[in-house]
Amino acid sequence: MAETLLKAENINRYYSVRTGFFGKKATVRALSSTSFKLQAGKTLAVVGESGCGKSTLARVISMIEPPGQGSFTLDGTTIKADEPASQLIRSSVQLVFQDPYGSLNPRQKISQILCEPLVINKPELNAAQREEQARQMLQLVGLRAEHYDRYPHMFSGGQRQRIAIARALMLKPKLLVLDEPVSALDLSIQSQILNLLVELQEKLNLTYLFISHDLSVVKHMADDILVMYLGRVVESGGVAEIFNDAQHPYTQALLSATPIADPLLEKNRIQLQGELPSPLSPPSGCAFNPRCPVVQEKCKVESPELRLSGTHSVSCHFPQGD
Amino acid sequence: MAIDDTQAQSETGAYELQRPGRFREFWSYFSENRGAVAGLIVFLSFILIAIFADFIAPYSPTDQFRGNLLQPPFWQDGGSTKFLLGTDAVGRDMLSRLIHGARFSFFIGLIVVSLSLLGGVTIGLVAGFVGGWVEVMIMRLMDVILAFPSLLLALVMVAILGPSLINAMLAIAIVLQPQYVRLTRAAVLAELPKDYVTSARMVGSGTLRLMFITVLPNCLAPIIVQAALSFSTAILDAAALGFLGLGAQPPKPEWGTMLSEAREFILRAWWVVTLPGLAILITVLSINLMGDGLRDALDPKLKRS
Repeated sequence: MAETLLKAENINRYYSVRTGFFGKKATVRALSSTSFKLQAGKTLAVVGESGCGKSTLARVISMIEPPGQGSFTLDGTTIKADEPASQLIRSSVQLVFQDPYGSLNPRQKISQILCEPLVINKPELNAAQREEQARQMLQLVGLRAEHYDRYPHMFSGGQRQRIAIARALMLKPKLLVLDEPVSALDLSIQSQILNLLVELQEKLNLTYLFISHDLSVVKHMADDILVMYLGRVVESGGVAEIFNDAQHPYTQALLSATPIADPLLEKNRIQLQGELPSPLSPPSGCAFNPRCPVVQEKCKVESPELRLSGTHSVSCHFPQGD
Repeated sequence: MAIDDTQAQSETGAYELQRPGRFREFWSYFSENRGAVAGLIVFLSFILIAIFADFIAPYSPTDQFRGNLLQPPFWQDGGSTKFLLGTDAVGRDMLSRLIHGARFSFFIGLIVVSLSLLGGVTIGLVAGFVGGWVEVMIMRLMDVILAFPSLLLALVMVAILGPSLINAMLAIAIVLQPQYVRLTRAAVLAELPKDYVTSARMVGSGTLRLMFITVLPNCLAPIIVQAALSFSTAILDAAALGFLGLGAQPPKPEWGTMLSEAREFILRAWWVVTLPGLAILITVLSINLMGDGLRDALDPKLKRS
């Protein structure tokens, strides 16, 4: 059993927004009581549709925003809502953004982009040492030495994402939060970046929190999966258990929506009705009840807890085991 | 797997080396605007004249030729090639005074733009980064300054500080400040939510580093244009203050001051009044034309790609 690198307990993140100019203050429950564990050297994938709180989770874990309530323990250090984490802890988590065009400073050369983390966090290094480390990193992510002195606009999307990964790795973080790292890229480039990520994980013993809405990518990358709906975890477990034995009706619908490249296969698609409810006013009881194909009276009243059902945890009153 | 994207890069590498540099690209946009190029040429020649005034000017700007009072330019009856553009009421050579006046104008433009640029950009960065009530205070203060007619406000300040060229420049710099503050703040607010700023924060950049190294270089294009355009505003305002007797004091050959000294001769000797005015007009026009070209070349929204 590998050691636990990250343990999140009941993380909440609410935003208060004003509806209209004179409107009342309302609360967006972007993330409600989310708990999970992440083993060192493994990949935990977070999946769910747009607006389900995936990116909020990424921002909280990478300490851009503090958790509203609850806490998480990272490598033995606990981070709480009202205690700002030290820079040392912060630099052990780095984030790779979705859009490689916005995440690199257009006025900085690659050399500056890669050296900046070292200039700030390791002032004991001199310029030659920084350059050596940056050049090694460039090679590690599969770019060539002459790319070192170029500007971001001279690169393609895939190359930019390699640079973004290189920058995130400059401080030798333990945990890399990947916020949909390939969804802005071409399909052919996607697989290269994913293979690079797998390779880097083996070489550097990295732990990934992999956020995605592409289930085929998740199947390829992840060891464990966290399915989210409206800011809550609805199902979590190993990748094989979720894909073979999904028990929550939402997970089943999500899986059935994945395209399969086989025209002869009879598709048994579960189509969800309606849209994602507004997180401003989540439905009472189970958050999924207005769209659930197997909804019952109890679901409209009582909110289900995440509990063990068969091989993994599900938050449903009536898990749909086969 | 298809082509490795780093591999593909090496094939296109040859093109990449020929890719026009930033200056080349800028110049190709800038030179499309003929007025801008003409403005740039006039502006550069004025700068050269200002720098080498001591060598170009035939006489000292304060030498008085008592025998040649109010002599007309050489092409008019009574003019001579000894004083190409004539002399003023105390016999000073107009051409020499105009050439030396260029020095004052560029000195004013440079100092005023530097002062208001430094102050305005810093205040704008602070407003954009800090936010909250600090931002509200700063922006409302700038609105108050903007609400006054600029020349009137400069007049009041010079009246308080006492008439001199330095005080006039200070006053104009303060009057021009709000434009930079607003521009910088707007650009900062547009840049702040971008991912590269977040990632700079994540690796632990301090606020000062974020302000000046991460964000400011990305906000520069509109600020450069504003600096070029306010160069001419500064010259114009300084000339206006000089004309009202609150800027450079005689016998300094500042164009606005020259205008005001020569007011009473407007009917008798047109050249004493017209020539300094023309000098101001041509300088301001050339700078404005150049500024427009700069805006076209630097503003990505106006680029056709």
